Amino acid sequence: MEFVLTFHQPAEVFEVNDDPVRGVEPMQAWRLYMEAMVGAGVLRGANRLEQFAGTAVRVRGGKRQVQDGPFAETKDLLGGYALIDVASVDEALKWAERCPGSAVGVTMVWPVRPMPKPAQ
Amino acid sequence: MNAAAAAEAAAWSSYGRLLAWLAWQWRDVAAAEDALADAFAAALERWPVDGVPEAPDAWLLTAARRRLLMAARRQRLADDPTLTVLWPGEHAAAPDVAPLPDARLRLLFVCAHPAIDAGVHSALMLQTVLGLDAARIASAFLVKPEAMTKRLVRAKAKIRDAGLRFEEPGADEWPERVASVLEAIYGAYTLHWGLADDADAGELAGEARFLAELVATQLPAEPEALGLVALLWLCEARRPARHDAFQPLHEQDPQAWDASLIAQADAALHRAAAHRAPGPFQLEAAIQAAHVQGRLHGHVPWDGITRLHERLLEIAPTVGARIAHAVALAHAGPDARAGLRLLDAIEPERIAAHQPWWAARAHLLVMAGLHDEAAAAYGRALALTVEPRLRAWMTRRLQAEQAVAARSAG
Repeated sequence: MEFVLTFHQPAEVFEVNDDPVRGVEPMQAWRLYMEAMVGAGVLRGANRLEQFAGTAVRVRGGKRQVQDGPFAETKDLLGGYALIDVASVDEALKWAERCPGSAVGVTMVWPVRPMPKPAQ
Repeated sequence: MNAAAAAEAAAWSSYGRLLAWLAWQWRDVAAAEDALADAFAAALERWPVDGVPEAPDAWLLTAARRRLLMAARRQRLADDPTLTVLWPGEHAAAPDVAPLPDARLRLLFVCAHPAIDAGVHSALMLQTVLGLDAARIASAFLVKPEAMTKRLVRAKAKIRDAGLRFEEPGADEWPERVASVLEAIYGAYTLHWGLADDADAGELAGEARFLAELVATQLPAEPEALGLVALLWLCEARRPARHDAFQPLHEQDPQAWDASLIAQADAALHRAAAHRAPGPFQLEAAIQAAHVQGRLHGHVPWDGITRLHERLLEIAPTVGARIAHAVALAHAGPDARAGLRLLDAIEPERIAAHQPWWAARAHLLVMAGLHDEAAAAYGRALALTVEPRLRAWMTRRLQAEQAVAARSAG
């Protein structure tokens, strides 16, 4: 079963992580976490996102609207995601629990909805 | 405390006992829960106005039974003599104190019934015997709250539909039934290790300990029940030594341990040993007792501990038992590599994400002087560790091994 984990954290946490001194320990924790997922054979893909550089695009009534982030309505910023393949939702929750981001922000666990196979 | 708070406190202090009692009589946990919830709602409305009744338990029980009977009438079951016999007068006496613990014990046996999926036994006990809500239980088990609620509802429907009786099991199935009850209680106890909040963890550990003591008291001739209670007492005896920082057993100050609880556990183990029927809980408790005595007297009997682990493996060759055996052997023998070989013999897919295996491997690699590999193993163990105190300790171990490895490389 595939799940996408999304890593949401407050802006201050990203500032610490990007700091060359204060960020050493948290970034090591993230590296070890990703390595553990690789070692357990569950990681299918992962990326960090430029969490301050998101842009929102909306089309309303045929008119476009473009807005730069960070967005006031959300306290936590989306800093990355991972696609994992595990045996059960319980196992996915376990990986979310181990995520270093869960101790300072929130890790969301999203079941991947299987897409119908395209017609031949 | 105001009237409303007093009423609430009085009501909730009775919940577990009353539910056990009702569920036992009614043989339908879900219906008993609904009825009791209604009785509580009525109490929380009436008591702040009328005052808390002299016998709050009896008041709640009467209200809940009336509600159960009304529901049963609607289902045209009122003619059933087993139901009408329960119809109390308006002035029902307070239930005897004595049968209540017994009712809870019977309920424990139903919760751990072989017809119910073993994975739900502990959760069912926590909810029906102790009154924990499904959301908290889901957190303790790390499952989706909705999924936990579904599992519990399914289990209770099974109790009702299969008509699982709150009766003593026959002699032939007795050992197996006792074992499931004890395992489920131990499962409930181990959950508290995963809770970072000390107050929550202490409460859950206390609840499980209460159940273990209840079973040991009610079944004094059952050596494994004594073994379980001794095991939990030995674990709890070391709780006062818990600090803000994690300390493994061999670094703790034995003076901080609860000496009277340790003595109580030793006495229980001796009583259990007199039955000459060793089982997994007695062996686990004996291993813990050996570690504790070893720390108190300055010499850990690793040879004896290794033999106890061998006995345990014969009964239950779980991954956890194999890891513990490997560590004991590494300490007992002249060469830690013997322990490492046992660890490496465990199937890789079973340990890829199993924190204790990586922590044990790191420990044995340090003993064997392989610091580079030890650092890598501590790194993996750290990534699989959640508890903050344990993470801090593991981070220090990782840094220490990285430093030693760097020195020997440079």
